Amino acid sequence: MNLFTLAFKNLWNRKVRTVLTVLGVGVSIAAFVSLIGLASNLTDAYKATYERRETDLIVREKGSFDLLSSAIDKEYINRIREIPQVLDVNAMLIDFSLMKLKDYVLVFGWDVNSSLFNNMKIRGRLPKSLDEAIIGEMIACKFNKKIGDKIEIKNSKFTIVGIFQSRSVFEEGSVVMLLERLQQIKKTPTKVTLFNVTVKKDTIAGKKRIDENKEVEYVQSQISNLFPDAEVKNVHSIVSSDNLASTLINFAWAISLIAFIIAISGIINTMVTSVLEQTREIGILIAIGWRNVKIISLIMYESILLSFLGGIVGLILGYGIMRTLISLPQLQNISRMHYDIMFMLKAVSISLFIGFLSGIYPALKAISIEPIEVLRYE
Amino acid sequence: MSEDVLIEVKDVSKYYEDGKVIALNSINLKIIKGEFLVIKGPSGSGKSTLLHLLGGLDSPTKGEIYFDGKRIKDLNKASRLFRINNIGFVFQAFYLWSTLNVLENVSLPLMESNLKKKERLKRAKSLIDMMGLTDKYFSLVGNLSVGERQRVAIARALAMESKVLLADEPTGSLDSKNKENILDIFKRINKENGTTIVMATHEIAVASFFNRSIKLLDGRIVS
Repeated sequence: MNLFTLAFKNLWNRKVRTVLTVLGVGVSIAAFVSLIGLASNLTDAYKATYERRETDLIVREKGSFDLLSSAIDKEYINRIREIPQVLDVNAMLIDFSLMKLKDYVLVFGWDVNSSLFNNMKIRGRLPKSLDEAIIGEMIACKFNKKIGDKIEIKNSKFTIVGIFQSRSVFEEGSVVMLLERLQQIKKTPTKVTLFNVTVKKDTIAGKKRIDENKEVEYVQSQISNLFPDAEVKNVHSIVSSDNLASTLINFAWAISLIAFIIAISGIINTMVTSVLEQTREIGILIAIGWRNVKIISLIMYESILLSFLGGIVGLILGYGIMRTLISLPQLQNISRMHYDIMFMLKAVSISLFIGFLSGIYPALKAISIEPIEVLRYE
Repeated sequence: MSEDVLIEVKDVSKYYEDGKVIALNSINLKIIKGEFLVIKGPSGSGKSTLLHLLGGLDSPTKGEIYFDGKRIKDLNKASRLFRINNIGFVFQAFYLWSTLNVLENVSLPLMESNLKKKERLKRAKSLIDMMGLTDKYFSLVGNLSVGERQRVAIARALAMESKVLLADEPTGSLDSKNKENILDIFKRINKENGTTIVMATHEIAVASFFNRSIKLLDGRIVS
């Protein structure tokens, strides 16, 4: 027998209380897993989108609350193209559209010759006319659409000429039409949401070779100087500065923190009750000569074991909650189930930490038991 | 101090409730190594209190207790392992963990030893065998008879091969057959291992088994 088995037996002998405490911890971990998972999912989707497009910089309207509310003059694209270090620039218009009364889909408007179409795995072909569109694989599966079918976006009918796959969940859950057509639908003929800028790498500015980050920063400052009413962001910072994404993540952490506090108080309550109930047994351990460090270890093992089990339950519950959340109409086309091993390890580590924190007070209470009081009481 | 003296009690008194209750009053006692000492006395005479003090579980209000020439108070402070390595205690109410089996209960003190898991198991089993409980390794102590539980408590007290075994009324709730068994075990341990045994009892008949006895009455040694 060792401390771990002794701790396990103590928990096993109080099954109902153990189960209830484990469930309490499980719910808090599930909240963390599902909320942070979802928020991370969205920010990862941002990153994947820009990586797929090989975008280095985003140019959007200054002061816009988030990416989607930006409206910038399309003519800027020509002047951006003139910057020698710019490899490519693409205009993009973004909108949301309601489909079948309850599902929201992202709608992108791209120029007919846009390089954003490059590197896309497409079945069929690219749109050539204003009444044609391509859709992501997620949309095709969800609405049971195939090439040649019609799709209605904002009261306008489009023929599906291609179905594409993308690493970006935003793109795979979207409809892509020609920019001009979306501008007509949105009644913003001269505006786009943003420009995606790709910077030439290994350029030589003057006679000096500049490293990659400096090249991007250089172009960033050039564009900022050209257009004072535009905000130019490096894609690596865009995710952290986007108000919607950071609000979501902060909200998720705030809720998770409250859940953790509730879990910690649940474990402390269980452990303190356990120590009180086992005053006699703990007193005897001290009487037969167990050192404080061993008594503390026993209590901590129990506490950490409780929270570890809670962590596992939380992972399972969290998975279920996440599946439910991403099937909601508001989220289903912009998020995907992503449950990797690192994230799960993070969740389990947090649960272990909760167990450790929760065990401190009950452990100190245990070593304060005077064995002679136990013996005299009997 | 004679080098044969293992424990010396020097003018020890123990008061409770701010002196209103005198549990022990000016006790002087020497316990020799390898001795089998019985402390007789009626209920409330201070036998358990004296044993608790000898075992380092409590401190005297006045006086000092020495173990092998050193103050128990200092030995306890220096190392928490002093008690577990030197003193085995058989408590009046056994104090076994009812949710653990016999093997696990006997192994509890061994968890503080440096022995490897296999060696701990081997020692625990041999003690249980010595107590005649070979077929009860995995029985929950709650399912044992009083006599069997007492033997488990003794096995646990012997687990660390301590120099001293203190037993508080170990035969108090046993029938005559079990009493005899327990006393035979104590005699064997004392003779074979040289363990110093100090046993408290209110039964005069039991006291006659042993080579030395003292009598406590109202917290004093009267004979």
